[in-house]
Amino acid sequence: MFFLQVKIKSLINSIKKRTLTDWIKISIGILLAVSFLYLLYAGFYRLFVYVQKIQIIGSLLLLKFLGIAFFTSFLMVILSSVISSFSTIYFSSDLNLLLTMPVKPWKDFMVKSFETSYQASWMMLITLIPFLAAYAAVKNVGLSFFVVFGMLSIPFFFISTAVGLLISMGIMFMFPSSKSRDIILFIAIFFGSLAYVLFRFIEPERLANPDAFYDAVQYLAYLNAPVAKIFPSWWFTESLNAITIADNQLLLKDSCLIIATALIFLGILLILAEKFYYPIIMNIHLGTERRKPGKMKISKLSFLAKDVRVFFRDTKQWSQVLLVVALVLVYLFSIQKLPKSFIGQNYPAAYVSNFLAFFNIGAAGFILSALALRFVFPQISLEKGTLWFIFSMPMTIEKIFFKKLVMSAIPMLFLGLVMGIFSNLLLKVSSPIVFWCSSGTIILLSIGLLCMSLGLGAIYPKFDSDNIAEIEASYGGIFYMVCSLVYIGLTLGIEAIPMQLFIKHQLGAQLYWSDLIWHGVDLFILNAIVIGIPVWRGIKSLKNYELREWSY
Amino acid sequence: MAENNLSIKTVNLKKTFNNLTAVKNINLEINPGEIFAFLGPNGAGKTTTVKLLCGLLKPTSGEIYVCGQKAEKNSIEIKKLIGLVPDHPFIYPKLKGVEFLQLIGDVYNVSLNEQKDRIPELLKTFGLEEASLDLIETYSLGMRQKLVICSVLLHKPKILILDEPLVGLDPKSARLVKDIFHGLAQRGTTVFMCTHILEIAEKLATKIGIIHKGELIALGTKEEICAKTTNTGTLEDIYLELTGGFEYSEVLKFL
Repeated sequence: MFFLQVKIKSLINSIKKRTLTDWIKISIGILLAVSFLYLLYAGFYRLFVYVQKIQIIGSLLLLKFLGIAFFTSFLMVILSSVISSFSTIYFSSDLNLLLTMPVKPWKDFMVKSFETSYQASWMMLITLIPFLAAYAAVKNVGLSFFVVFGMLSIPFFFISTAVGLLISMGIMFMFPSSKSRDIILFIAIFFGSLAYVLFRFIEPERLANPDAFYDAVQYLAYLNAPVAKIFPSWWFTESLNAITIADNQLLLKDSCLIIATALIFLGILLILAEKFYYPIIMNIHLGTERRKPGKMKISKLSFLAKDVRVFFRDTKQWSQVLLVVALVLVYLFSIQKLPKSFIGQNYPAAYVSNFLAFFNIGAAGFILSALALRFVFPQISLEKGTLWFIFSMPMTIEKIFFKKLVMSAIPMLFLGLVMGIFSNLLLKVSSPIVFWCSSGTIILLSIGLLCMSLGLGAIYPKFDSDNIAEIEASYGGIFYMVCSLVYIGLTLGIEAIPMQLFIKHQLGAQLYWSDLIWHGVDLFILNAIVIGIPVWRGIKSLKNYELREWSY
Repeated sequence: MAENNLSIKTVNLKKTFNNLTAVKNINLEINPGEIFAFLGPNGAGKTTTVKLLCGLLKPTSGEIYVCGQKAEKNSIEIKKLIGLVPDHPFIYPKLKGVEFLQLIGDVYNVSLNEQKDRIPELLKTFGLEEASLDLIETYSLGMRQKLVICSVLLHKPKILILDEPLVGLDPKSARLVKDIFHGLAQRGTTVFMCTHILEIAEKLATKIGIIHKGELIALGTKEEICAKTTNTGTLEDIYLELTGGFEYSEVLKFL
């Protein structure tokens, strides 16, 4: 109750402290988020309408989609709760206060468990809404569908959180140190990345293609089979499906299964927390033994080298490089497969590959913008504790900003080069002009996105959190994503006509360079704005920054 | 004394945050080699003044001069002259102790040869030699405080600005730090120190300033301040008389 009061009072105080500008920012953020969810809804709706119309298998495929969505959500929340529980349950800064209060440790554990459940599942829940809304619209079901979803989602996500909590409790019991958190984080990210790559490499899109199966019976049997029948995700899928087919008995059976399982997990957690939580916390806080010192070597350590060392010593940061590698591999794999999907259609091969090179700019740009949001945008916010040091150094803000820019420029340019040149090589782009124009633009986008993300990260820092996901989801992060999408869209818009002319030239038409001058000027102005304004405003914002607290 | 010869000079220094005036028209003159103890209750404006002097906050009005240079115009030059030790310093947890000192050496242009001489010496003096190759995240509060003190001593600043420098230090280290400040002051370094430990201020400081609700209510040597009050006792008695601390004795009766 005390914990809940603290949370509610903190929330009320932060609402009271908000100015009109804050409310405007929040409103814009909500508007953007709602627009994004609506876009998702529209996309899913189109897909589902198309699938529903497929004779015989349409409904089965939709049910399969629903099952896969819940099964994925179930696994994602387990993974997310394992990772979150380290910071909420075992290494939280308020533990010292909570554990000295006259409250049984299992109560602290349960309060923290619900907090973890909320943290691990809210994003998944919101993402599921447009998916389910589209499903409900296609299936023509009413409010009862969402009422059941709302009621069952709480025990459903609690079960997945509880599984995650049991895993993390086991780990902390066996290896009670902060190192184990790093190891698990690395393992989770490694296997997550591997699963992602493998999932893509088995080409799941073939499952929607009956030709990939030996016969129709086998295909229908596959579609009819439940997705992980023994998991609560399938019970959840069946419950919602029961509404669409008006089967109340099935709904009751599956709802009872979900709620009963959640209660069983709650009971198990209570028993284990009472027995193990306090001893685990004690073991964690006993501290680690100091190593025997080796030979001290004094050498120069620049500000840039400091950033590199800090990055590679923080498992939370460097282990996500694995995700980047997985993302790039999957991207290149998908790009390589793309021209094959045009086989059998009446387009010349040269046209297809050159045309795809143009769209490659947008796709690669989107991935680069997401990577910049993850790795570059939080750079300034993550200095929150050491701002006193940064601002008291005899170094101009311009120089500090430039050093941060260089630190991020190396990986961003490398990715830009890999995604620009490799993807076009894999596409077998036949026109050298199209090849270099597409590759060059992707590299240019990586520079533009780098400056934009660092600049906006400095204009809209989030110093009250060290959680990168929270920094990304802040107003500044959302604003950056919108700006980066507009930037990529405008780049595609400017280059559409020149690319068309290049492709026609490849197919034999005459090319007049004079027709392209204004497109070049437009591209130059766009990039000057994208690079110049965020950098200028970011530096200005840092110069005007006033350090109210020694550390945040 | 001429402005150029003063280590720190503030003229009508004022800082407001929205409706709150944290520092009201502060006028200070601190000479080279002086140990200035800046005293005051919690929230009186001490840390705000420190941040203003170090360029971490911008004054609402008034002027700051450090070694004769106007702070507004020469912020980088001034930062080179200052060594700052904040209250509860947070330093890069993923750096090793020795690496933090190397970073400071690089930022303040301390030559590599000098770093090689001074870093092991400073670490040894402060008892951090054994932990020097461990990550700072494993350090206690006191160890971090000592590391930051090492870092400011590494680049030999002309002015040391310290916000509660003895917080978290064990008695031996606290004594060492006091002796170091005393020695540095004798060699011409100015020490500007915010503290709640009045005993240290009394023993160490050559000049004392007392700030209360943003206003500088007393400035001078202990004797000069004493002469302005009815109290002739310890610095603690004078301080409590000026800041109204005696009122608490009534409250204590209820406990």
